[in-house]
Amino acid sequence: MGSQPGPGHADVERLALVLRPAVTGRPRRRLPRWGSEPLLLAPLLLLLALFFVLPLGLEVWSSLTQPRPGLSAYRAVFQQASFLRSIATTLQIAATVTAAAGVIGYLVAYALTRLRGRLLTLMLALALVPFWISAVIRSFSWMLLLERSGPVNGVLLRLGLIGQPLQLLYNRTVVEVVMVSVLLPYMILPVYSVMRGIDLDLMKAAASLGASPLQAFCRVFLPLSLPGVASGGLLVFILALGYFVTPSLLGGPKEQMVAVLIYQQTQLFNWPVAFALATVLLVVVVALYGLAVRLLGLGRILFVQEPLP
Amino acid sequence: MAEPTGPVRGAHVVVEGLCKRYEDSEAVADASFEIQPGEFVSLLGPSGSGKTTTLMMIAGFVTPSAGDIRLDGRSVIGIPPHHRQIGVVFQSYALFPHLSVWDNVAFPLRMRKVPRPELERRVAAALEMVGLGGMRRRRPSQLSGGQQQRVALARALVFEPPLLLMDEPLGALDRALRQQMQLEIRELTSRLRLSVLYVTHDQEEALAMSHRVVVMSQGRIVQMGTPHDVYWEPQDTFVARFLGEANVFEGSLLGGANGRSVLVTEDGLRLVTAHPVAVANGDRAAAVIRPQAFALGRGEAGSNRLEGVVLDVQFLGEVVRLTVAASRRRVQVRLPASMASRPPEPGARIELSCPPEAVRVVPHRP
Amino acid sequence: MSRGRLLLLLGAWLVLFYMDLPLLVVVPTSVSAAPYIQFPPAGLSPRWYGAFGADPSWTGAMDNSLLIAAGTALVATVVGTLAALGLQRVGRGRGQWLLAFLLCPLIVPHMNLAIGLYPVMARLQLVGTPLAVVLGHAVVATPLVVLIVVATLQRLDPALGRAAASLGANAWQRFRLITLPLILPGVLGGAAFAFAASFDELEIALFLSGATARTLPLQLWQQIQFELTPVVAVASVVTAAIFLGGLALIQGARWLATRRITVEGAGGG
Repeated sequence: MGSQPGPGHADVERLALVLRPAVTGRPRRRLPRWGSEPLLLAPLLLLLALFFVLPLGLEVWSSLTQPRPGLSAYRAVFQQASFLRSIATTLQIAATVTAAAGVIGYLVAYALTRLRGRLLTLMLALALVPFWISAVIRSFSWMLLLERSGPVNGVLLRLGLIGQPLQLLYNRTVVEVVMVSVLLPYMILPVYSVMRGIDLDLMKAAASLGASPLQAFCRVFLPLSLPGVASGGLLVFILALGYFVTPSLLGGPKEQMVAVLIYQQTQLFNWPVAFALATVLLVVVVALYGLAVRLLGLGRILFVQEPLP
Repeated sequence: MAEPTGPVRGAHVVVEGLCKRYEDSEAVADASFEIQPGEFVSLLGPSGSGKTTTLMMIAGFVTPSAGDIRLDGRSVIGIPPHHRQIGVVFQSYALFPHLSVWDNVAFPLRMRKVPRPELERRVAAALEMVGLGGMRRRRPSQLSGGQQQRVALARALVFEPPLLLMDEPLGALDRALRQQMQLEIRELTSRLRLSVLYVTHDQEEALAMSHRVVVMSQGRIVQMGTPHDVYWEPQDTFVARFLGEANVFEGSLLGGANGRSVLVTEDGLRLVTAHPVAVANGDRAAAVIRPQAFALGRGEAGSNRLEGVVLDVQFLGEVVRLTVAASRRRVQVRLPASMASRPPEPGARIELSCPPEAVRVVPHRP
Repeated sequence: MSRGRLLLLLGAWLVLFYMDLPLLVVVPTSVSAAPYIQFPPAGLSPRWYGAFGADPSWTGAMDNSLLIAAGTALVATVVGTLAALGLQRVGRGRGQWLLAFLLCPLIVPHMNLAIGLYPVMARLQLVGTPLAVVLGHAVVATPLVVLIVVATLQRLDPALGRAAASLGANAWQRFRLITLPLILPGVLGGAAFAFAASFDELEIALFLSGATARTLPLQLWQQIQFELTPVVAVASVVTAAIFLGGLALIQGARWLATRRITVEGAGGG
């Protein structure tokens, strides 16, 4: 019997190459984890702990312990009519702004869904401008428009509609008008993104089943778009409650919003009252946020858009 | 096609008692099988059968709850995926979108710090091997589905792994392309003498490409064997139905003699099988007959005979498919089509015959 | 286009005008010749730009704002991206609640944060330093980055990471070669938002910047109330210009980063 061809050098080498990684791979008793998330989250958690949770906690704590332990600061707040009026005003303004932004924002979002291409990109960019331009500048520009020697008064005078320039600033309405213009993007974006997700075939199906365009809109489109309205509305309301810049520049002294009131108190070195007011505001905002997360689910709240398309 | 980068000796893979338990379910229970060096093995089963989970455990992306996986005698349990030296082709191809075709294929060699001249030679050879030599600068988004598939293959093979895992790679392709790719993959892997584990839910694909087929259902391996074996000798009705069209006659085993056994159905039809039966006399069982095992007419002596009425006739080009009402059921029959003879018309009474060799009696399993 | 649709479009444009047009008012006002605010201006003169450039309280505020915004963008982007990557590993259940907590700074009124941070920073003796403002701004800017990067990560095919691992890449290599290039457009978008959030912010700066780290919005806010001259309009224009300039830069970087990922058109052979 002739010799069987045994494994040649080349084969042995190949085999060694194949086996080598299995040898160098270090088997461990426990399987290694894929990365370590606590390490990645640590910087943010540290930042928030020191500069978010701590300050807010301090605020609440101080409101209950200064000038002496107890509810004296809160009593000072709730027993003063002007403070209560301010809280009421804040709620009213926030509600009005949210309602107005809701209606206007819905219409704009709906219009956007009908667009494509360059026009859509342009209009979306324009709708997002308030995100980028400081609220101070916006309030200032409205001031320029509406002041006594400004163009609006000028036109009204020229047209003979009024005899002398009107004081259009420093009242609740102008605050609401400007706040709506600033907060509209926060309504438009969530509503738009929900609307974009609505399958247009549903409307066609409704039509084929005998629904008029109005019925199809009311019974199919509107209900499906409501989650966007809900999350946008909640967001706008919460932001409006705590708003400072616009009311501080354009608001009247009698109907001030809570944030301005808080600032004024700190300037008067009335820190306990400031902390108490701030805590009230905080509690309301957190409660609303919690409500939103419960009702709408976190996924709905988190609309995310890239800054520009 | 150009010469491959050199014959690679595939690994001997042993999977033993592999289990994966989740909180409320058992994805894989006690899977054991082997892949001989150079063998092409398919894991075949419906979705949820545990085949992808098994593949992921071998690749190292899922931690087994129990069991062992050995490559050429060494256990890989505990070794992270990037040390396992196993090539993987994913269902979605997973090509890196920001890298060119060239950079995608060169990636594993760069991870292994292969020197530049050798890297260029091997990447070029790998691309030639899959027929994409001219596409090196393209991005994945500029390629068709079939081309992306080939890049994924080239990338998984360029570092000459001893084992190649493929997770339903052809699912997204249309039928003609799939069949072509099946041939190419089979040809390539056998030329390179790789060990391959191929996961699919398509029985035709598994039968066409594999040396052996491992059939899984609900986390367990139900049968292993060559394509011929699992097709013609299914162990139960699940395997029979999954591997292809099957007529299943339920009844009970009457017993038999001389190497033959008889199953009798509820309506009294007797079917004789020439194969050993793993069922006790009197127990419930099922007789499995493939559609192409029937012939028109009375057949030879000793054949099983059925009478029925033709319900439907479908001309499929190569075969004619008849649906016949017989023995209180619908029987599927496949007859070779020829230009000369015309198939029976719907409504006609016909006789079908089937030899005992083509009848398999198995335990009944839904 | 049907009449209804035309009306709708018209209405949308009207709303956009309402939102954006008033801003343009500051431009002509800034070139007014008169020493008081006048719109429309009677005469035109660029002298107020000169006044802006010569006044250290304005130029100083601008420098501070740029410094602080850049610092905030840096901190927020790094910390936020790391957090987003960490969140990705945490998974659905606990991850949702963690995310809800991490996003709280976005809905808490800045005034609350400002008056809460003041005693903390005072204790750390940081009031009046840019660092204090950066830290305060980072708190409200980082969640924006987290939000955007999380969304970007969700769009990433998880099979890519596994493919890279099967090809021999360890965790660091997977991050550096595969994950990072693919999320870079999102990360840069987050950086842009963080920059904007800081550059425009008022309340926290109001309390933390003291006399030495004055920011531009703060300077604007005070001057509007106390000394309103056309310089204020100039400052507004300059602010908006710097801002849009910075934005354009970041958008350019994003576009470049996105091009690496998707190449349109015929590729080379």
